[in-house]
Amino acid sequence: MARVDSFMAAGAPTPADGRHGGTAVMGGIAELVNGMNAFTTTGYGSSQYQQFVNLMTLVRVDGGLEARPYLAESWSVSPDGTELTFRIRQDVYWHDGERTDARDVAFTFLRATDPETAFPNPAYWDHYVAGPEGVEVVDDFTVTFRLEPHAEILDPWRAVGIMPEHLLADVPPSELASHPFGSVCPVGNGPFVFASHRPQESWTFEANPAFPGQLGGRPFLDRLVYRVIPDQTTLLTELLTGSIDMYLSLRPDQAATVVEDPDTRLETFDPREFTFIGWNTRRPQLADPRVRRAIAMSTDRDAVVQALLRGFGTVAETGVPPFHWAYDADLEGPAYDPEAAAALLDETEWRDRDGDGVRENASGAPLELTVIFNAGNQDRQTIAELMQAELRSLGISVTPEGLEPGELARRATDPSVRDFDGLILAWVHDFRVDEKDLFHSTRADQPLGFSGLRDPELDRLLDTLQLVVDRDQSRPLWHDYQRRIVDLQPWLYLFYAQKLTGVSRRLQGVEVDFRGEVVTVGDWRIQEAESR
Amino acid sequence: MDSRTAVSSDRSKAPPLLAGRVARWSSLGGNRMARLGLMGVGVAAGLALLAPMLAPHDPMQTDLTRNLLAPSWDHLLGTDQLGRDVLSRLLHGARVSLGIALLSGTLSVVIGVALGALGGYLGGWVDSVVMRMVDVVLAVPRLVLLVTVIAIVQPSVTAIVLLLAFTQWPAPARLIRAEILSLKERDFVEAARALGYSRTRILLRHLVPNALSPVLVAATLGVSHTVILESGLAFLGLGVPLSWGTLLLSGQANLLTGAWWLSVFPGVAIALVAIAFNLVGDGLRDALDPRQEVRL
Amino acid sequence: MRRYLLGRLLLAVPLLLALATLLFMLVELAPGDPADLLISPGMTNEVREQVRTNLGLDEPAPVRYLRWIAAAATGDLGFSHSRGVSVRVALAQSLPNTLLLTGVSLVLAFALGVGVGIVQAVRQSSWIDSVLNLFVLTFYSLPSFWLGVILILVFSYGAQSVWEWPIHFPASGATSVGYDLMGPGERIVDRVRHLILPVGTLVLVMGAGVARYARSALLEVIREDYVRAARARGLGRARVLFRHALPNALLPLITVFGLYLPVLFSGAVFVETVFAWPGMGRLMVDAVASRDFPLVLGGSLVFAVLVVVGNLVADLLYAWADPRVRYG
Repeated sequence: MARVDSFMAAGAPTPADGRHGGTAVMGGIAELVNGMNAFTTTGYGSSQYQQFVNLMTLVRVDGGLEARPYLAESWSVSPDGTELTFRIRQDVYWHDGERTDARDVAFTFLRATDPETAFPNPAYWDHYVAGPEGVEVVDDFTVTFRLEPHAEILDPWRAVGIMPEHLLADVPPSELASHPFGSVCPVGNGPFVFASHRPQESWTFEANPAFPGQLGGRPFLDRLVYRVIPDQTTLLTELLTGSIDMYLSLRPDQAATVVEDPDTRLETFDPREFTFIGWNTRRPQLADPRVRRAIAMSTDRDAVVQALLRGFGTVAETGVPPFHWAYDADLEGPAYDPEAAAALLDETEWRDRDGDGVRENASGAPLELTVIFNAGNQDRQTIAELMQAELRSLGISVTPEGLEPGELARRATDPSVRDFDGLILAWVHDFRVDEKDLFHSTRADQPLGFSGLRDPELDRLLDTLQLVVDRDQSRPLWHDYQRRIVDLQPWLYLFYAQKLTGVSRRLQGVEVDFRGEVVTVGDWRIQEAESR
Repeated sequence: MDSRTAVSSDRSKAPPLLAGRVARWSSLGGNRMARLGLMGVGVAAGLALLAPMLAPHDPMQTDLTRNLLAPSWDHLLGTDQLGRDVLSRLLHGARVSLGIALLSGTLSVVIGVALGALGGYLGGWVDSVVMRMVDVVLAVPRLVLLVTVIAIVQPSVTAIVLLLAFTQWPAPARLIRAEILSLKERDFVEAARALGYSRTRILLRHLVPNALSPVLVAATLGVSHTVILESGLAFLGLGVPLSWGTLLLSGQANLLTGAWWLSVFPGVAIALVAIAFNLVGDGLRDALDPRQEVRL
Repeated sequence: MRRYLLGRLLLAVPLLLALATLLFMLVELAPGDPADLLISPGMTNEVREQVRTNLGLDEPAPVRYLRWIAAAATGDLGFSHSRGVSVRVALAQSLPNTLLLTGVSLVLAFALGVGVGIVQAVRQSSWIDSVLNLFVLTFYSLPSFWLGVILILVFSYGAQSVWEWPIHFPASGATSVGYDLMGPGERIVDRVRHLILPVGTLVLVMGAGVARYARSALLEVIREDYVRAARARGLGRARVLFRHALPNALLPLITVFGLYLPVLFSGAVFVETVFAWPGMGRLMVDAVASRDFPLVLGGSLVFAVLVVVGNLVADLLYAWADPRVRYG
């Protein structure tokens, strides 16, 4: 096995060409919970750092969601679509000097598909042959996977960072998730080398001088720091005073301040995350799609976007994000029309039979809804209170209930509990949108089947969509799917909130897009005069 | 965690009897600051009680076209993100916050007095059990207890009242126990015993009323502390809707970005009420019993 | 003396056991477990079950309780899944930060509080007393996180970006980003600069409490007979105050210090959050939120031990300072 013994990131000199050097400091409210361990990652922040900073994925996607080479220099699919072969770069080294090769890729796949690992997103491998049957190391730099033909087969390899086999092969799969590798001693192979991690405080990465030139080579920055600053007023202060160079996920009401300050600028990008109220359609009050539609019609979502997001967002109609190739631009959701909403409700069995201002059904049960949300999340509380106020005039009594996160998770996602009527949540789809978890009738008793939806037409579409390989063929199906969702209104889709990033003037080369804030991290530069 | 606890060191000197102290209680009227505090408490309580009548707007009525308006004649304290009137929310919030503080304060005093008096009077194993309970409660990190128990029962007014009472009863328990220990050796108790009064009667009629004044002082001061603590729970995401803590928090991020009125007014309200209760507590202490008191 | 100590320590054992049991039951009652909190795309019941198995949560509670007690008795507090390290290491990472913040704050709060209390007692009912009283009451009545934000806005943001004062302080963190590259002198300066605002917040809030205590304790002693006697003998007011009244009034401060011990060890979560200080308060709150049971239990247990020992030390100090108190 080839080794590079001569390099240690910290000891390598900074190239003296004026573009290199300096430390960029990012600030965010949350710890990178899963660290650099790709086997446990569910969090957005951790994934970003794994994919673009410390680890490498086999492929990256470009702005059009097309796969581009990264750790894999090329790939091919067998004519029958059942074999996917990657050719791995030969010039990528783990930060401890070991070369990255096909065995690392196979190892990552084997562990991620081993049930004992409890990999958090098994849906990636739905159409892959799991375990040793599904992967073959052809030679040091060639690896082949077996799968059934399906849509977006490369998507997992855009998301899952390759993990080092030589360090983790002996760790039992059941212990991988809590292994110190993730947050104490990560060893990656990406453009930045892990330097230190102080829990709840900061992560520090240093430039990897051995990062392949064809992939951008050594990053311009010497060091990249992520700081955990839980209070958003403090975060803004730190950005405005120049203590941090980037404030991740700025609040919409802070945007104007960042725009006005001459030393900072605002970067926004197309949102992937959408906020919605998930209805529990098992409940008699919500079983009728007309009730759900009437609720949507009496919610002024445009006004919500203005009030809550200060206009930094768009009304959502489905979970397919507007920038996505499958998005149906002609889709029309329920428009705000309280009178029509009342008329629609009058068609159902829910009418105010006793004149108390709240509608009842034939057996006298009132149209009352408990909407649960994460206690302490101001925005969600605001949404719940807004629903309460707006639906009151429609004859629907809404009780907002803020719950502690563990209890919220249990009430909503424990299939044996499901104790809620509405649930305010935000969701981020993978680039391969697959809503089977959420709406397929066979998944209603899985954790994410909180909608309890059972619709044969939707089931058929969900099953078909994942198997149509060609985007042009599947696009009309996707449009059908989105129309069906709008008809059924399983959720009240509220909005896609734009991701706002505050960036200091001294930090150049930052380009953010739907892939995240750190996509171009290798090109980030600190103006020499203001280096620290 | 803010750690403001009311304690009193045990002292051997017995307080003057209640009758005499009631007379001095009226001397509270002579203390300018205490009178001011009493006025403040009265005004706050009045505003809270009359909130539905006084509030110029419905505290829940949203109007997204009129959100984040600065203070004006229409909205004396401005409007919030959803166009709700801040003054009306503050008035209604007073019921929640003061209600929580008064209820939990009363409850903790009742629990504390009952257990502390029993322990102090009966002594022996009863006393040991009570004091060990005090030790356990004081040895649990209060924050962990609050956060864990609220996770179990979920944030609600009832839960928060019970919980605050549960974490705060040791202070009155210790106070009254110390009082009773010193009182029960005194002549009038001996006399009552000699007269053949039952133990229950002695405890309830003679001991407890005479031992109450430091507890009363501590309880008054405790109310101001609870108002502050409740805002802390809101800070941790465990507040209840409309409470001052929740209102304060919902606007805190706006302090730097223009809409300062969202958090400044609730903050001032919390501080004023806390100050008022402290003034009354101080006055009470001066009037009833010049006893040592500390709140951390 | 030794027997007294031994007795107190022995008494602590059932206390800690009761506490551990109580905490375990509480944590068991908390709804949801780490597996419930996994709400990622593609999550299934099977994965959640596997997570429970991997974390040892699939065993019945009594078994886990006995196992945990047995391990804790040998000093093994288990593994913190949310931190990816043993509970012992996780605590060792946060406790020093907390001790630094709260320790410095406590010392300064006592110094400031007693100082203000003395001034107020000496000048009782003067305008100085009233003005100080106003400040004391105000700081005593502000939520600490709110005060912290105000300090940040004034002394960090305002001082630097608005008024451009020559002196301003960092708003967050325990150290600067380049701390590891600094020399020893710079490190100390950096540490101190980062301490100023969070410590300032705690000192204002806690110092206000101490000042109230010190003032009323002093005034009470002044009313005592021997102080009056000293005054009657014609000794100067200041002399009486400092030589006679002060020592007696301050003696109970040791007990008060014991009462502050919980803050010393459990940290100040509000101040830690506002100033992004990585201390025990945030550790424990996060541990509950992420249902990291071993960390909650281990952290609480260590806290309880420290409080018990701290109270013992306070009692011993009291005995040392007050010759009237003797333990058999």
